[in-house]
Amino acid sequence: MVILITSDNVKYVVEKDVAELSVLVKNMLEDIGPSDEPIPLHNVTSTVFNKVLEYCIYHRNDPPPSDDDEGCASPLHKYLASHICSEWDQRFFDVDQALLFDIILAANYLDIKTLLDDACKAVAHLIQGKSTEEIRGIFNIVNDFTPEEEARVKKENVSS
Amino acid sequence: MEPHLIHLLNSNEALEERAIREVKELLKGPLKKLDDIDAETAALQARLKLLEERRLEINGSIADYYTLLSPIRQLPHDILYEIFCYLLPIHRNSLISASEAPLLLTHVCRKWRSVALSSPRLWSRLHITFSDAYRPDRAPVHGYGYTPNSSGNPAFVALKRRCDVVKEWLRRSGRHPLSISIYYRSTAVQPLLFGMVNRADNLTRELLEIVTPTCERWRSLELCIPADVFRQLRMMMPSSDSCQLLTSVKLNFYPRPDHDFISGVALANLTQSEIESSLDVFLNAPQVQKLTLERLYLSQLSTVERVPYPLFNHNLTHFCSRMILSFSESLGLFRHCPGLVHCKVHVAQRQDDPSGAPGDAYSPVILSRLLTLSISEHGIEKGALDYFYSSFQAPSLKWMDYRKPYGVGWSHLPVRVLIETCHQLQKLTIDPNDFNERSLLQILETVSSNLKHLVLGKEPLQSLNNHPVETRRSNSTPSFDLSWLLVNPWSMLYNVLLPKLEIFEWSPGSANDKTVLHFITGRLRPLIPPGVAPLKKVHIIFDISQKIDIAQELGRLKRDARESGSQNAHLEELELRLIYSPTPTKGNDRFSVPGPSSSSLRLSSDNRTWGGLEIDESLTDIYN
Repeated sequence: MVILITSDNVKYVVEKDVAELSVLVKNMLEDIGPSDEPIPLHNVTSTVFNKVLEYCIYHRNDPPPSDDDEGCASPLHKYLASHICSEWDQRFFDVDQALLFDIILAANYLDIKTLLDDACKAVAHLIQGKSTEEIRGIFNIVNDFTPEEEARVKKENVSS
Repeated sequence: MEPHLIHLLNSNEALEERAIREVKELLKGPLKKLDDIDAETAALQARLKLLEERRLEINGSIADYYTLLSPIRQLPHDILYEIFCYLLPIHRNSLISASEAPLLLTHVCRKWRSVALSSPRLWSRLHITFSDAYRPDRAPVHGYGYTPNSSGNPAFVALKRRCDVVKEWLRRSGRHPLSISIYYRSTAVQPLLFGMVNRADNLTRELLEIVTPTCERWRSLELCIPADVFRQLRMMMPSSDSCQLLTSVKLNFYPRPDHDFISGVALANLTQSEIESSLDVFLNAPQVQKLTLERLYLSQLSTVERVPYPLFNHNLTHFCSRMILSFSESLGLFRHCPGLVHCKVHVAQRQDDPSGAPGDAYSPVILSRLLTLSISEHGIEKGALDYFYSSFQAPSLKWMDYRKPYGVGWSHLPVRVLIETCHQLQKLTIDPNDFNERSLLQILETVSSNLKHLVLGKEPLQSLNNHPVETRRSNSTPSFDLSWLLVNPWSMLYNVLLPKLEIFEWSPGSANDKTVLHFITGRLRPLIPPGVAPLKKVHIIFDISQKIDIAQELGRLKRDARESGSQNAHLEELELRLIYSPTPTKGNDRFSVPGPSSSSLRLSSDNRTWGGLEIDESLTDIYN
């Protein structure tokens, strides 16, 4: 078992194979060797870590992700990798935007590639098929182009 | 009200002067109260308005704070880039369209634009649509007044602009390997006019001058263009060994109406040898593994006659062609590319094809890596077919798609010689309309022992709206009889046809519901004969109306089994998909797929750019 402490001082006792889905934790465990010392997770709150832990427990037996991202995989594999999430994953990522982005940041900090990829897909799914205006509305993004810039941006991409 | 006035209220008598004064006096009080109430209401409304304005104001500032707290702001650039990558289409190259990534991403805000523009990978896939509509002889209605570079020619302006966009797009792709597809449409609707046409295709040339210098980075190339444009593209490529990264090539030369109708001379009359010398650089590129050759028209009057397989890279793993290969060419191809994994060919007999069984000294070609083979066979002479199917073996073959258009009259099928050697065959796709009852049964008996997946019809079985796909309909009695596959509890294994069958797909299915129900329940009973596999999936698109609700019947069987405490796991897990009377397509519903689908973008009904023949990886990769 591994003891992890979140930034708001909540202690978690986690099975080693689950904890080691995080490359950060795995490397720290290798560095400190056998020890009962708790591992601090400075950048993750307990609210977010609860979700991260839920994901890691569910996916603990998944095969490790491949390193390919540049076209070695077949189109089907890439398609599956990009679009197919299980029903469980869909439910898991059906959370408010703030938590979804916190999960992304936590996955990035903890170096959990599959969680990071799946969360990025969930955000991409929110964007897919939306117009510029709709995207700005969904994510509270300010249109910070000047009118001249915006006109230029629109013009430069009009091909016909 | 006073009693004497109530009396007056109940009549229409004229009031005396005194009574009128009295009533006016009595009115003063209530009118004053009403004025007071109105004044108070107005004051409260003014106050309410003020509060509402303040509320809006506060809401605005809260929204501003929320905007500041917007979680997507916190994302570092590299994560935003990862998200952007998931927005790129997978099954085709990106379109030059502001409504899909990557162009869409550059329109949202400065940060997104900056991330998108600094990520070459986002710009590494490009679908280019182009045409010769800018040419004066091509402008369909008002063309005669234009000169090719006339700013008044809208087609010229639009296509010139497209050249600029393509140039900028490729610049943004940096040094990243590219996947390029070009769909070039010829808009000619009228014959060329003698002496009036400037043949200099300057915009086509401009586009090719932009695209060809990137050939060293091409990883995937998809060309749907006239042969003369292809030749032009090839001649503009810097050198014959410039496609070092190319792994996938799809070519379709369609006939362009570049034809002098008066003299009958094809103007783009490329020869077979000219086109072969142009193809060389693509077909024999050192890393090419996937090759699709749709129809290769040289002009409206001629096509490439021979598949130039001697030019192919020996390491080809995927080959797919609608060009018809002779039996000799097919065997030559197999010998030349023994590492084929997926192959889809049309074969036909030619006069010089050998006939009869090969002699003992002949060693068949062994395609040891071949997993999927699709053959559309147009042979007519039994001896030639015997020779062909005896001359190669595919011991690892998992899926065979066998077509024999107009083969209903055949009672002997030489393909069985090949199938008998494919001991690992798990899936067979055939169209019952190609066969008579006897030959179809022969094929099923030949593949019987290991087959897990049978598809009757043309894959994929459904179009976007679950409509049955187009198939040739036979007027005669259907050649497939589902009762062949029925299993009874007392059946002996050797009597069961396709005992390992797990997946059954059929379109258009012509069996009645009762037989289908017997077929399903017979193969899902708790006590099926030993050696018979339980069904896992049944998918039928019927061409007859529903008589029995099969799903309901199976639901009842499940309930009965549960209530009797003997839950049938196989029945519970069965994936059942039965489609009866399809509703007619309304308007453009069939094409209402997500993303841009304007006809100008040349997308197919399933939102792909390549509408032609290809090996569908979603069907083949299941065996990898």
